[in-house]
Amino acid sequence: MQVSDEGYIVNILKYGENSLIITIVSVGHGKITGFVKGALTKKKLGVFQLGNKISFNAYARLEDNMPSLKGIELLSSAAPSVLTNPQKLAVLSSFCELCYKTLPENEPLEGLIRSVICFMENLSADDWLKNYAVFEFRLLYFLGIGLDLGSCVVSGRIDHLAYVSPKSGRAVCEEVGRPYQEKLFKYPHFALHRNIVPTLKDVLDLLSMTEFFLKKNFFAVHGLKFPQNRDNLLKILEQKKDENA
Amino acid sequence: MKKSEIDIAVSLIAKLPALGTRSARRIVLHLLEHKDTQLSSLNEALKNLQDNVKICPVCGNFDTTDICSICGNEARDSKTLCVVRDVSDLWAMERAGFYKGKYHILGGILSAIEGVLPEDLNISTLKERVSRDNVQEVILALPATVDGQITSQYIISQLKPFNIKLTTLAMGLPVGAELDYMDNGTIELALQSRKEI
Repeated sequence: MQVSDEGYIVNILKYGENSLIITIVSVGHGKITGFVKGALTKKKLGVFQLGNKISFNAYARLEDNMPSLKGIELLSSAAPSVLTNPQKLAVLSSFCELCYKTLPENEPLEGLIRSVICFMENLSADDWLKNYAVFEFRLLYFLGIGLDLGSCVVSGRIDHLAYVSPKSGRAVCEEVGRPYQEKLFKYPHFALHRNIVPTLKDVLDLLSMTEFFLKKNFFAVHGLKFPQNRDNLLKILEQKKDENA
Repeated sequence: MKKSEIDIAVSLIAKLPALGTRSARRIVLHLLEHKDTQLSSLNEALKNLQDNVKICPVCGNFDTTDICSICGNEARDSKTLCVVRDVSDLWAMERAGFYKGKYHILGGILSAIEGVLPEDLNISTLKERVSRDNVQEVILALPATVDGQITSQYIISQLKPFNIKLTTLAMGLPVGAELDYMDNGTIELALQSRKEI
């Protein structure tokens, strides 16, 4: 294995006195976990932080071996945008933990990488929360938990879609779903049409839906614990919603 | 095969931070060569450490007295608490010699991936101290990393009901730094927290 790529750091583990094992969500090669020798020096402290974008060369003698990461250069740092904002901090840590726990190793992230880049490159923009929610929505599809949101599961209608059924993961139209709206998720229009600007409540509705399907169809199936940072995220955003109200 | 006393000493010393087997062998050899002077005094110092050094029940610092010399010092400002990750951070703050308040050692920082949860840290004792000692300011001196700042935010949420002043250390350029060698993130943070002169 020998690749040169760039990507975002999503996990950092200390190894020995001054080395690290870092996990990167790379643009061309998916999630890569590699060993960085002598990473903990004063000069490089700012480089190895969660969310930072780096370029690197990964080399392993055999495909199964953990690659050694060399030639690492910092391309952009997430710290200035997130360290002083509690909500962004929660979103970034949730993003990193979800990527670390759900994505397969060394498998290109076709279909998902665009939303990863869109989220990470626009942390300073106004729609950072929307980008994060869209990332989670795309993550469902990438993990094979695709929702069928094209037509109503009961009537077959393709217009006035307003809900998503937690049971089937399919869309439900306004007319059919109204009596059961307490039990259904809101239809995520803004995740399907990029020009729609969502409210905080719309984003929270989508995050509740992605949490439900991730828990049910991924974490429960694999016997994994749902990420702690993702759990905290919803609480922090709910608090923000209450403060805004 | 039974290990010799020298091998046991080498393997124990090699487990210490920043040391490997080769360094451990050199240390053991050096101690054996200076058995009467350095080995015996080191032996005594280690024994004293084990017998006399305790963890302060108030702040979590190491000291030979029940309440550490910082917590027991009446001259220090007990209305200001500085929250640090571990004892080495406390020592760093004390080396600077500028801070005259008291400390609270968390014992780590939150990390979902490494499984460090709020109940693993000394956060409940911090809350008790704040309410009991009528603390007026808590300074969060935690690492300027994502995990460090998440821990800060968690502590802020826990201390908000006490209605006290909560502050964090500034982030930006270290003393002696040249802009040319700084990463973009540090420069941006330094610019964000610039102050008028």
